[in-house]
Amino acid sequence: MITPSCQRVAESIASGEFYQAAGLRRIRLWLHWCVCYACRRYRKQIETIERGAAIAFKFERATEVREAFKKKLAARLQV
Amino acid sequence: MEIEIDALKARKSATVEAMIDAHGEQLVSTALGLGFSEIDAEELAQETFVAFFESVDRFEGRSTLKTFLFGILYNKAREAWRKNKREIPEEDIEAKVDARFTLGCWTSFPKGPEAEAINEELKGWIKECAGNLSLQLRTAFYLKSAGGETTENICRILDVTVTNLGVLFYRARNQMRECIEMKSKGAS
Ligand SMILES: [Zn+2]
Repeated sequence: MITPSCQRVAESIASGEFYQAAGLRRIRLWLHWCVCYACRRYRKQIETIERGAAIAFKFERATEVREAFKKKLAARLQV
Repeated sequence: MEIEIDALKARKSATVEAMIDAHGEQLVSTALGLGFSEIDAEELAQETFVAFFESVDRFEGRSTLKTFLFGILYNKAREAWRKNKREIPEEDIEAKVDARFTLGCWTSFPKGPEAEAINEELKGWIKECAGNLSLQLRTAFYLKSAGGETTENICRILDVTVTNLGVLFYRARNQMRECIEMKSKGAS
């Protein structure tokens, strides 16, 4: 079976199409990914960055700060 | 507590408070994730609620309350960026990625983070590299990776089609990957 090129597979990974493709397109993309070391690495790097972002952008604000924000907002909205 | 839209329209205090409880911190966190300082992020979240009540009669419930609020936040963030002339010129990421391939095959092997553990160094690079994204790319990237939002919701928030969002993801993720690859080369 002819599979898409590395460039097309990388495009589909970055755009998200790789995860949503259906039917023959899905089989072709995944088949390429299975046999291509470079595309597997590329996908892993993109996923590592996404996972890292979920951790890097986790903001824990102190309870007092959260409460002060809520009070200020309630006053502004006059409730 | 379920938030009744009619009670919000009538500004019933218990319902408004429930909405602030449910979405206030999410909005602040999102503004922080978009690169605003703590003071500006709080102000942006407050402005979002104020704008929500100014337009609450137009809210028909076609999107969820959260998505509607996030859409307002994004527009407020755009205004703030414009006011502060923060708009970042779009990098020609397509050309950069194209240069890695010859006839569709990798010629410049992708190198970058693949470790299972996300260390402090990588977290720092992610924050720095996200700082180089335009607001639209950063919002798409943030909402998907850190916000865990669905494609459908992000399309509503940014007011783009699914195809356009795919292009935004393509640009944002490649720009992040290229930037982190550069930083990891510099570190090794
Ligand atoms: Zn490949």
